[in-house]
Amino acid sequence: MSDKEKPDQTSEQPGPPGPPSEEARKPSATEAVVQLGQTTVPSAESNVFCLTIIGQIEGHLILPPQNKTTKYEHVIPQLIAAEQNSKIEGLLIVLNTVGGDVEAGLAIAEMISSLTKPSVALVLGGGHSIGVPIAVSADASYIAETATMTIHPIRMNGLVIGVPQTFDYLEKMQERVTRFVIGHSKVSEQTFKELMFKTGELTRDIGTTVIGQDAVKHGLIDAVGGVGDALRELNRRINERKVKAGAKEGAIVQ
Amino acid sequence: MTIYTAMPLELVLDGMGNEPGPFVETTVKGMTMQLVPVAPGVGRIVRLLSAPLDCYLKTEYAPGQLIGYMPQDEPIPPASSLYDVPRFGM
Repeated sequence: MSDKEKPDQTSEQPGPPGPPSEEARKPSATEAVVQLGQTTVPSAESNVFCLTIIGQIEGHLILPPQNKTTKYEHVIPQLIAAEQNSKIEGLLIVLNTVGGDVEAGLAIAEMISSLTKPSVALVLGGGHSIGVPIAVSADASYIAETATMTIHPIRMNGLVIGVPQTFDYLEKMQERVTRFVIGHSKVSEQTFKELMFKTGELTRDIGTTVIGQDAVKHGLIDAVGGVGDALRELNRRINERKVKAGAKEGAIVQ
Repeated sequence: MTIYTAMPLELVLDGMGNEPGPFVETTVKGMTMQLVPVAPGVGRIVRLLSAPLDCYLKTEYAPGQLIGYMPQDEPIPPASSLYDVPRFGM
């Protein structure tokens, strides 16, 4: 009888439940391959955290499964973790979103704008509707030459009880988005509202689609660029912050 | 709740009346998470319900990833008990 066949051998069984150690949480690449047939590429320690916002931004409602979603209940703790993790020095936010929940999108945008660590947003593909405030919330923003941003009014979904009240409510919702965008980018209120209510450009709606250079021209986004430009800018801001922190420490020592 | 999207709402909300799930709540490596079972012992992460903050930074625990778990209603008996066959005076 080999060792493995001994009846009292219990090494393959789970041990008694206890407080999970840090070691236990460490994912094993081989374990993932054996159990799930998948593995993640072992990543080198990076000082940059990349946050990708794709598909619909899912908020208070679980969207049907045909939607690819970014869940705000995951993104919010991610941002807090990135802010408090000492190994992370900057955030790169990559956007390819078609919009989503107003509250969730604004919550994410507000959180990004209030981070103390440098952040750079990059719009690839599209940063539509509620993706616009998220794109402008970072310290610096880039847009790919072919990427688009659709700026349009908020539409009503749900029961309309009274038309004037509904109109008033939608206007307030739009005001929240508009105020955030004009407060965090170089676009003027007049230009943004003109883009939002323009007729004849969108087939299904009123509004405007701005492509790459146009977004920069209107002052929504800082520059046209790709991943390289965004990372270069982020690293520059990280170094700048380090120098400032070093100077502050030096002043305290003196 | 207001959805502000460039996609047609009828496409986004299609199938909204269907019940989501079934979901399983389980604790894996100290993280309580909601999963959709895809195979025995394998689930797709829907969301982390309670986890240390740093786990949110790991891509392997992001929603949509597969994870191995042991369904709690089917616990595997300890190996030693498999050999505890009652002896009927033989």
